Amino acid sequence: MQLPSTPQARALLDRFEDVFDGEIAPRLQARDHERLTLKKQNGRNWFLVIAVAGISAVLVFFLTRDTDSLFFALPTGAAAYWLLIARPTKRLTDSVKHAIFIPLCDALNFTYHLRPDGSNAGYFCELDLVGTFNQSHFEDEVSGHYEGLRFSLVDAHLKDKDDENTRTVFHGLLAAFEMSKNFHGRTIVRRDGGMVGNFLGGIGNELERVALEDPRFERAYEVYSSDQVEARYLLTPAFMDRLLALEEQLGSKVRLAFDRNSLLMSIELNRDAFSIGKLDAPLADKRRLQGIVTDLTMIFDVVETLRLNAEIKL
Amino acid sequence: MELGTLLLIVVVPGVVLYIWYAKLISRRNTAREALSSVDVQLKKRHDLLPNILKLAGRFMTHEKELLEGLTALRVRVDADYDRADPAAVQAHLSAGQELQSGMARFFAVAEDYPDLRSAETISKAQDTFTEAEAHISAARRFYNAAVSDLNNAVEIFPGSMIAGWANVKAMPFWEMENTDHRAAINVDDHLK
Repeated sequence: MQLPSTPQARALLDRFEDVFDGEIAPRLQARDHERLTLKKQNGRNWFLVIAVAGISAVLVFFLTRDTDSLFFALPTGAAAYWLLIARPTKRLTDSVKHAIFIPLCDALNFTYHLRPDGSNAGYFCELDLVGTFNQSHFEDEVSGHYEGLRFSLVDAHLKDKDDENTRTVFHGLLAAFEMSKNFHGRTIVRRDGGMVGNFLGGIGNELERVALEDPRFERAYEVYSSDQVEARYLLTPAFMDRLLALEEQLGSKVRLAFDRNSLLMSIELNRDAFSIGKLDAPLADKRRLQGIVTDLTMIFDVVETLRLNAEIKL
Repeated sequence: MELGTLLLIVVVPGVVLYIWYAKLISRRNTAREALSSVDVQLKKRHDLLPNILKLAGRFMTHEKELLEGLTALRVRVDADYDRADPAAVQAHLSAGQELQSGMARFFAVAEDYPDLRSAETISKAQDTFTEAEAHISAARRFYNAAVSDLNNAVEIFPGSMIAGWANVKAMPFWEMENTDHRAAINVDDHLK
């Protein structure tokens, strides 16, 4: 697992030990009994789910004398699974997340929401930071101030569903930073889509392409802006270097946009961020939380590596 | 000769020539747009200068020559010039560069005047000036990118031929002329 690299992130990790021992571990230990009970119940409930599905299929078969009616077992089984296994598990997962995030965020003066509304995801889509979606799921929003910058970070899973298929268009973190002043124009840093992808992406685009000097950056990204000078003011050679370094550090694809008074960023993880893992092992295990801390410290990595606090003094 | 062959001989080169010509004109216009952006940013910096120089004049009584030099440079940069004439553009950009170097020298000299340094206005002015310089630097990158595209189109055959007919000229790059900062530093100078 990649460990936090910036000094602030390392400092958080040091503080995390204290917060974990003093506040999180007791809360998790208190919930461990629930976890064991749920584990036992789930083992029993699997038999119930199978029984409900089987009985409903047999009943329908006797009533209709039609072998196709056996498929009736599927929705009934799924409903029983949701009611008897998925819902209680989700309830415990939510409770464990609260036990972890509330003290952790309190220690950092951040705010935590388990089920955010994700209302600004449409804005990310408008800026081409995520693909077009019609199904969305948001979880674990952390917001607050860091180095004088107001930020929010949310785990998002966005899908595009049509008559036949459902396709994931984005699975990762959406980050927004509020700047002290408005940008004059709109500048978007997209992933490079190859010759054809870039050509198609440019069609109907109101923004102009910005050709930058760094060949490494140009290979990785395509920049579009309504203000050629401001785009270069924001994307200095040093900033370009740092963005490439950040992507390498996070091991994830990053897209960003400067618009109005915000810097918006999508970080593609292709997994759930802030995951607490499976509930098989004891809850108060520090290793379980390492992934959460790594995800949380991304916000420090972004601010520190890109030097957002120092660089963008618009 | 068949009509089709004739069309092929006349029309295809005609279309190619027209596309090349359109590309040249559009790149020249982009370079001029970039030059205008440079001027907008230079103007912002020029607007800051009178106040800075006025305030400095009160304290830096022994630096009359430097202050007068800066005022003269400001007038030179402000002067109108022919944007279609590469030599005039070069002279304008060089004046802008000289003013930038002059201002860097001014702020360095201002360090020797504690009264001036402690004036809050000059400290704010220096911050705003640094900000303006960052914008000028961005405008310079835009200008140089546009000029690079234009000059490639003008200088690569058959662009060189078409540019001659269309009177499209290569434009000068805006390069950093002052290379003082690259010179090796003599540590002894700072330890006296």
